[in-house]
Amino acid sequence: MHRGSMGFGSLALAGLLEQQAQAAPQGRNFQPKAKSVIFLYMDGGVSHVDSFDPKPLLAKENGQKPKFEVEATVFNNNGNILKSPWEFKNYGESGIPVSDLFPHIGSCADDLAVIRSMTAFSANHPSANYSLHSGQILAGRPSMGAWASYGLGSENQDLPGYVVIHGGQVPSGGMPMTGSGFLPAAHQPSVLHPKGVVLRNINALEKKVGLQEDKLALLREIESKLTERRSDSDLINAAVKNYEMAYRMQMAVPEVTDVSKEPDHIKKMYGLEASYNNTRTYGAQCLMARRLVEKGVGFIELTINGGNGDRWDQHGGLRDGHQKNALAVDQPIGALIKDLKQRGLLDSTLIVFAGEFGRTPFAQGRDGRDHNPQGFSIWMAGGGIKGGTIYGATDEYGYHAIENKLTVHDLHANMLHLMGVDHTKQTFRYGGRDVRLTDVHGEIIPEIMA
Amino acid sequence: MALLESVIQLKFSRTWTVIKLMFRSLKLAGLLIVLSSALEAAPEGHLFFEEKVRPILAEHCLKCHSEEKKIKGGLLLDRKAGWEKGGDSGTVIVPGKPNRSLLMHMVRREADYESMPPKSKLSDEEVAILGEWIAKGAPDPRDEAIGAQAPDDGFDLEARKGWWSLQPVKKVDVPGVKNPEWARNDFDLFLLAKLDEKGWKPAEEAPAEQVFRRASVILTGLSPTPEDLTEFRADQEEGAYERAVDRLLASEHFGEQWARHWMDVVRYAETKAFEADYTMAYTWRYRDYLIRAFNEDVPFDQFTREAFAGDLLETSRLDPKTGFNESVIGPGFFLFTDGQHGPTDLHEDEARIFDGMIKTVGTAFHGLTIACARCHDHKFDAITDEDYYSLYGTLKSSRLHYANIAEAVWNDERQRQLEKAGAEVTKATLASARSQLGHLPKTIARVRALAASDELRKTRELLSKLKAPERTKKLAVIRRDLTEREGAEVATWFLYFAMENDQELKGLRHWLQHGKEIPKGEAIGPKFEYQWIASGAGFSSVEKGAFILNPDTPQVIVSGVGQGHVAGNLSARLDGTIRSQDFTLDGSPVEFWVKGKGAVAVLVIRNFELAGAGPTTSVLRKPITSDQWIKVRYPTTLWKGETAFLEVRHQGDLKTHLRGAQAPGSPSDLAWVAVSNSLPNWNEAWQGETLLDERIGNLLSRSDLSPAEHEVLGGLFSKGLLKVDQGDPAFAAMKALRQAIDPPVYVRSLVDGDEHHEPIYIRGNHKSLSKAPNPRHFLDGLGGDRLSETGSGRLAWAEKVLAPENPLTARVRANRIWARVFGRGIVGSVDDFGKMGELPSHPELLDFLARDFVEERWSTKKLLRKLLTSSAFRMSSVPDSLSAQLDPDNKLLQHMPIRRMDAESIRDHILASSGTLKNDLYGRGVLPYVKDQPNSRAKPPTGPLDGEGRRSIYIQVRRNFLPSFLRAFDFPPSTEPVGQRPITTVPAQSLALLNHPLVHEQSRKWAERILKSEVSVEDRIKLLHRQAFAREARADEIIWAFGALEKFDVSVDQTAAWSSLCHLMMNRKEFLYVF
Repeated sequence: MHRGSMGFGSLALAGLLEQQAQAAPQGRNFQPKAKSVIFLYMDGGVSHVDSFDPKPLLAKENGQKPKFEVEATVFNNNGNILKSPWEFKNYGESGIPVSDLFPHIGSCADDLAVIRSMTAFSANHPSANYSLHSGQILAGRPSMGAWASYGLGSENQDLPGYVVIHGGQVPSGGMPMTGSGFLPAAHQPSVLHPKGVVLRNINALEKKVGLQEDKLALLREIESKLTERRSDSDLINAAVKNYEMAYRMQMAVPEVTDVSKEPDHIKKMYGLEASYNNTRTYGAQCLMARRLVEKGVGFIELTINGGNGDRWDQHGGLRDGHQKNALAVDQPIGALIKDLKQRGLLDSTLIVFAGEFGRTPFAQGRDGRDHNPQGFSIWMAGGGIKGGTIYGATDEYGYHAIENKLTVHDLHANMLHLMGVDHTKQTFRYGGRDVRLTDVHGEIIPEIMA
Repeated sequence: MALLESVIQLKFSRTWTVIKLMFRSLKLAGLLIVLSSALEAAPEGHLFFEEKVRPILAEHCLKCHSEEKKIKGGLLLDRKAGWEKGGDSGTVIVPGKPNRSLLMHMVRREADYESMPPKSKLSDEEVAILGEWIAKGAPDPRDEAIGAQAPDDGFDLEARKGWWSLQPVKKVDVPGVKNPEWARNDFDLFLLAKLDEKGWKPAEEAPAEQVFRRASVILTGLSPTPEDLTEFRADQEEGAYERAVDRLLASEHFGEQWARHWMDVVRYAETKAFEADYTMAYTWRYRDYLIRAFNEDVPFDQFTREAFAGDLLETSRLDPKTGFNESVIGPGFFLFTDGQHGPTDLHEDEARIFDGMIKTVGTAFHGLTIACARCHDHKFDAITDEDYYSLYGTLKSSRLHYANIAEAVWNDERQRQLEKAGAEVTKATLASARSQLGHLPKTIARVRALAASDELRKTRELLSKLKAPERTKKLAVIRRDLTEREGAEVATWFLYFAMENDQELKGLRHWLQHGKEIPKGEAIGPKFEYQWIASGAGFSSVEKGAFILNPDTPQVIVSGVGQGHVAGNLSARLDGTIRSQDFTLDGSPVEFWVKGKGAVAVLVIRNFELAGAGPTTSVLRKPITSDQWIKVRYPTTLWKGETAFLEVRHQGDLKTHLRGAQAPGSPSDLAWVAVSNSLPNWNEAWQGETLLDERIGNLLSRSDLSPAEHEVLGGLFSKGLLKVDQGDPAFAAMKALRQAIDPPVYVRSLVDGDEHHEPIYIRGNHKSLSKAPNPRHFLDGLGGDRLSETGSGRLAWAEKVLAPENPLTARVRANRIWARVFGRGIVGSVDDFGKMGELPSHPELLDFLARDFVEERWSTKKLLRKLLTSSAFRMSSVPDSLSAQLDPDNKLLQHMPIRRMDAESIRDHILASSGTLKNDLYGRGVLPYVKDQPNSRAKPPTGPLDGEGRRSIYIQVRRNFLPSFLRAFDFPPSTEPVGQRPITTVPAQSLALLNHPLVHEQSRKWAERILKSEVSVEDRIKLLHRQAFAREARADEIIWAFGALEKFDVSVDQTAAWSSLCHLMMNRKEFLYVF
């Protein structure tokens, strides 16, 4: 029997529980390329034509009425073609063009596989967010992180296998989008906060030193009589054992998430000393993510803290909003890639940078862009990814994906694949079906694989 | 004979081009003949095909679209007849019209079309060739007919109907057993017979108090209190346990516990998730309905009928306490839908929402996964996609309705009395106004004189320059001055003349200006052809005119309505909603006539309930506050082709979708509304007398007023131009009757709309509808009878669910009850009786149980009483070692399982132990404690940590903010039906019990309670154990507790030490596990 861990590490016992037969990790189907995944969730929808998918035609036709048919948009306030306010540069040996929004990420271009033909299932934030996380435009479905936890458990007995490091902005659709849905609650994410209480219920509330330890010792004493008497019951024994794991977590989580003891040059590298508050927050999140990767945490998702108090959702004020959001995340992400690389961890860590959709090549109002689900860019780097790759393409305006069109199912299939999981084989019986993260879809893309 | 597939290269005489030909389904013998004749006679188009097109098809298309390999999407491209017939998505090639050919859209990979081929992309040249070929008329020499074997999806309904759960419920005899004395009832015999087969013995009987705690937790969700325990111990007679079970069944808390189970099954939640997590108003009344229903033991057949069609029953079930309608609350379960406020495609949104409803209906009542048949026939079960869209049609024929349950206490007699009082008030009002007409000629003459003077122009000019608050102030000053100078009547008439420009009284202003009646003229405004259907007691139809009466206002007559439909004309407390028939939007604006106060008019497209909240749909919801007719106008260009209906809600000011802690507000006593398809010609009302005062006097004295005259007179009263003295007793009489009417009490329910039959969505795609009609019918696996009822057909569906020949309903329900009692169902997968579910562990017992349930008139309580008083239920939870090894899942029920309390019970037990728990039932929910959840715009203000001491069922279920403490113990996500919660055992639970502030707060309260109630330490420790575990403390526990108190320095801080001990008690397994 594969003894990984279930959620926080109680696999061996939990696996014995009848109603939890499916809670045990499904295990890997083949050797993984990535032991950990860091999902950099760009909440709100980064404009691809302003970041990773340059479209010179937009500059040429700037201010003109779109020459193509415009699809229904959320606000239905569609203006003329809007050129990008940013210049693009070619980076690295691969020469991947990246806009001036992301110089740090650009400097890692040779590690990136930029996918320019991503599509979303919805033009609305919540539906698109739900499907980016779960493959379905429905609320309450298990997220990719929960599936990863369900499939792989946690390498580390003292730490959860699935963590969300919350930047401060709850995505449209609510935090449950990162949840476990119908998968057992063991696969709920542990939501860590870079400021304040790092994890709900992780801090002992006893003010007196040693009181909690006393309590636990007394509890162990009286409960041991129960476990002796009822050695037949796995349920009771598992519940008692959980206290030891909980206590170890109580020690381990604050330790691993404490970035204050990192050397100064590392803190500086991640932007912890930056003047912009959101850069410091996101830097701390990225640094926490690296520390969790070092401890073997399997799936880490980062939410953002939007500049301007808003996500990447610039229906107006594109220049200001995108600039601020990029200022918050660019340096920390660049640092994360480089730091993992210098520690030899990048090869076994998959980084995914994605929003729920892109933005329109034409303006909303005067200086914003509306949602564009028909084609946008994401990128992947690290474990198992062929760096310096561009895959897929949108049309000359960046409006529709026209070459190697991908859906979130494909993204999920490839993420699971790199984690060593065959997405067609990892299933959970629910509602009369053996449900998969990728439903009945998902294709592996050899072109982006190292 | 094997089919031939070969590539033959031929030299072609004219061009010497090498042509690759691919042939299928041809015998070798015929091949050359066909070939040569085809080529010899080849017209130019066929050459083009062979040379250019065929290689493209062979390389890119035939792998998936040929009879030889696969027939994806029902499309064959290996022969002309194939593409001529088209596929599931319809015609793919329109000869001569490449731009109208689906094939071209697909190979060009255009947006909104499926890209073909899916994996590879045709080169531009290849795309151009296909376009040219179609432009040439798509010449194609491949004239094979389509093969005899039509695409077969392997769905054999008859074979699938053989599945066990679809077979009739058998009448089974109780089995013989070796030791019949063990059994207390027939169910025991079935269980024992299975154990006999294995040679196992049932576990020993558990101690009585342990069984009592079990029963209490199962029936009420609460651990017995020390008082309960004392009562239980006091009864030493035979049958004491049975009497205890009866007490528990009769407890009001029984309803709370069993309501919560059903809430899981129907995905109960009060908010809509997505971006704003809107609260759905009044949802909690469904929870209260369930509690009452389970407490009253409403038979499950009645309960089912109410769920599907409580709004359509001939006789409604009434709440015996209030007299309010219970039945109409039943359909509310359909409506625990989620929702977003700005979908770009309302049809897609409807399909998503209906899918959730269909899934719930299938799970809750049928134990079937009907929702699996959304994109194709069910993969395993006897469920067709026709079944799925049959239910879709039923839902589409139903409309969300805010029903007034208080209306049930209204009746014809009271209605008659109120109408009579209204008639008296009308008479008295007109008479009173008539008696005060003496001054009118003078007033009119003076107003005309003022109008002719400069005063009119000056007043208008002055006021036109001012904005809202200043204008009102200035107007008051002018009115005061005028009243002082000219008297009140002249002031009112003059200011009316100066300021107003309503249509109804245009004739009056004409007369004041010109001294004579207005020419008759034509009818005014467009006519519409809506067929209005009213729901609720409020609306009545008006043919010959009516007045909106409100004796609580000085003018009494608030408005006059010529024809159409009115609500609020006698009392605003008689509420209602009126809706039009369905129509298809053609992109041009939708318009209709309406007037009223506090009402709202909505264009409901595709049953979208959040109209008004989002960016694009805000134009679809219009508040109505106008006592003159207005033409409401909805732009519809964004929704061309969608079905829609108009809806006018009388009490429209009440909020239906709320944020955070908002409440819907109270119904207004001033609301009224009128809708009409046409307007009367008001000018008619001015014809007749030559003097204005005489004309008005005439109107006031007639009892045969025309529609136009009603409106004009209504206008004169509502503007205060006619005065009313309420001295007549008729006014007081009507006021009293109005006051006696219960204000509306709303619930989310359904009403029937137009009858719809929904076609199949090919592969679940709402943009790809089958052409064949799909008349509504009951599930094909259960006979597939046509449901010919008009409207929604929900009642007919309910009767099919409850038909004696339907083997699922009783089995599924009885099995759910069994599972709650014994920890697992006889069918382990309580929500799925299909092939992907589990087989019954005791098939005969299941049928016996189902029959018994029906014979006992579908009584939940009777069944529970039998189960809880069985010998099986009283078994110990200690397994026999052999059975534990061979039947680790305890499917044969050799012993009782240990169970962990549900999340709610754990929290309730914490509050009960500390003395915080309140016994109050019902009411609007408490806001959840959300301080430990991330902030966002949709986050509600936090509720108190202890939830005001209410039981957990009264904490609002907000989908985006589920209480973290409950969620840690497997509280469901509340978005999809859950018949059986998973029971997980994870460290997060230990962390919650160790470190959650609620646990610490309640530990302290518990300590304070203990310290108050007993004096000696030992007595306190004993009480602590009785409260926590419903049993006496053992000697070793007392010693342990003494030691713990010492360790906690009890001599230093008594409360702190006891708090720590209480905290430990909450963390002991026995606190939350039931043995």
